[in-house]
Amino acid sequence: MIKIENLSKVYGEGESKVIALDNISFEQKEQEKFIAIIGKSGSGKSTLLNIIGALEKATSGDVQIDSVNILALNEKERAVFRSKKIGYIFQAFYLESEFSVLENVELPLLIAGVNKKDREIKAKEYITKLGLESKIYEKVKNLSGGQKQRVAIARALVKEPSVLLADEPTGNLDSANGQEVMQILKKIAESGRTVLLVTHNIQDAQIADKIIELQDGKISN
Amino acid sequence: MKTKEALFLAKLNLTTSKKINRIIVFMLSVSMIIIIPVFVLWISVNVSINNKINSVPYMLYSQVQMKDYRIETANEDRKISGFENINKFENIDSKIVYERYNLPCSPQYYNVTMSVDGKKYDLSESVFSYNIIDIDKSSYNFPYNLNTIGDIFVDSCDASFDETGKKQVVLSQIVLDAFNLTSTDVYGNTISIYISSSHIEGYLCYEYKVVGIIKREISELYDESGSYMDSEIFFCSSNVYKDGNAVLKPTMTGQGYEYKYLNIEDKEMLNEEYMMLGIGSDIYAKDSYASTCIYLEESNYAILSSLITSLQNRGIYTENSTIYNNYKKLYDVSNILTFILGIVGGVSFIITLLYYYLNLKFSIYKRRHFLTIIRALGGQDCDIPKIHMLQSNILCAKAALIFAVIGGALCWLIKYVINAMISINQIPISITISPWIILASIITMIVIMFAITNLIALICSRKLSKQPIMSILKTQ
Repeated sequence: MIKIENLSKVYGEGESKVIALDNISFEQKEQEKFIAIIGKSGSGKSTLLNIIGALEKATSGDVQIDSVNILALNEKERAVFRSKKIGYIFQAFYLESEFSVLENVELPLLIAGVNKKDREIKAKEYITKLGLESKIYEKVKNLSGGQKQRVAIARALVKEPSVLLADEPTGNLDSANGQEVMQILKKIAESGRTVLLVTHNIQDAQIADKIIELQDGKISN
Repeated sequence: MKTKEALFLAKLNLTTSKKINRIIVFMLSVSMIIIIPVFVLWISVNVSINNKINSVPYMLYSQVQMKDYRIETANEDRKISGFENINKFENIDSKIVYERYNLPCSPQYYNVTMSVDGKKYDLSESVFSYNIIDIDKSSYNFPYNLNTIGDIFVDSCDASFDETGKKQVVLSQIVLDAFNLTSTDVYGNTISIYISSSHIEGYLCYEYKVVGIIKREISELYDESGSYMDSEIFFCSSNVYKDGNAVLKPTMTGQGYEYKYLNIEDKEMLNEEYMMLGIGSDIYAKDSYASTCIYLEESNYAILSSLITSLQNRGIYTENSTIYNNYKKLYDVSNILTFILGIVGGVSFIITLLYYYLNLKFSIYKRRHFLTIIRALGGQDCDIPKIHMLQSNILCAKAALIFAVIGGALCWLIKYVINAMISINQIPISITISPWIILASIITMIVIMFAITNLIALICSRKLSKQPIMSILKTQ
């Protein structure tokens, strides 16, 4: 469960100060598994996602995920938290193109110290769930955009995080692949995980349980 | 991230640039292969040759060309009391008769004792049992008929004065053999040789300090009376005068042989007597080489210099090479070699490290998003340098294996190559390269290689690991 209180993020100082987030508060309800954050470019949605995902620090406020105030954690604790609780899907995928699909997907488990045999089993399970079983040993650079995004999703899911953060996951995909990815995210939410989606595409957001609209760093809707 | 996982990731990372990694391993191996013999040679030269220079048992190894030298007796003016005008013999028979029966110090007529720092030694029984090699073995095959101990001493030893005027002598092994003594018994000590017989009594030499031992190449003697006995004992005098003038005059008295040099000419003449060469008389004169070694237990280059100078001053062509000089030459050559190879190897190593640094830096920059994702997925900041240092270690391990085998073999071969080159000059020196030095050098170079490449990996990757995650991910 996500709970945010009076969250602010300010970049810079003085005249060059930029208020990316201005005193945002919201709380996830039990039935709200799929939350979409929409807004124009520069509205602060990615910043909000990054702070929730412990990738950035806030200037002030509280962010609680499963009762853990992540802003109070030190760097090492944040890394551990990310490792256990958070899964990421980025617009640019950030896969290692020279690695195979399997090697990319098992990466989070490798970082977590899972032994080779177990992580292979787990990785293959999720690769199969995402329909990429025929590409397991294929190098990522040889895959299409949609396939790469599915590899990224598998990588995000393989450690079974409680929160999945997706930052413009369909941004680099065509509409067909984009739809497919959204459906996958929907299923993930339905399986009980919290999915936080950042998108500028209102149509993608429609399938969410809750839509938060940001404007100039504030929740407008 | 645990080391095992980091290592797995390091190996995976290395697969992304196989060609460059192969080049790096090759360059590392080659530069180490050049450096390691340099290192080993430098250590071996400094350790072993320095020790040898200080402990080498003999110092002068000379070869003298004989063709321009004629044996001349210098005995014409020397008279022995009771034995008048004994000079050249008409033939060998006359000489033999004289030697056997007429010389005052023929073995059967006298007792000879040598005292060494007061301790007395008698002639060895072997002298009387003819165990010492015959004089004229080639011609008449006579039994032992050593002229006299006096002749032995006079003929084969070099008595002179040191720079303070004190009496010193370079003894020959034959003299020692006659008394059943070894060089360590006498070296550095003061000796006196006393002769007594029915008609003669006195000191052959009185309180001379033994400063050297001449090893005989063969044991035949030169007969100072001028007969054509073959002798291959050669030595040269290292006489040093206190004031440039002679001190004593040679006189023969009934009290035994006592040499006193009146002036330099006399001394020079006597020195010529002492120049025993490897050919016989004029009859057998031919070109040949005589060689001998003078043993000096102290590495005294001053004495060597004067020895060589006195040879050259007599106009005798010599091919001199002291063991010291040869070691020194070897030392200098080795230093030049190590310097040149060291430069080459060092430059090669630096270029390799530079190449490695630039490639690693570029690789990290190119893969900065992926490396940052590792942190985003739960990796610690220190995992990035850790992975890259492990990558370095893998590359170094491959290079180390190659260079340890090839470099080690090269170091082992160097010893044989250099010793073969030395032996061409027929100089009995060699260098030793201990296998432990080779092993220690290889290990040292490996450690240095690992340390430097790890440092490079740390430098290249540390910055990335410290930057905020999103600041990296947001870059194009």
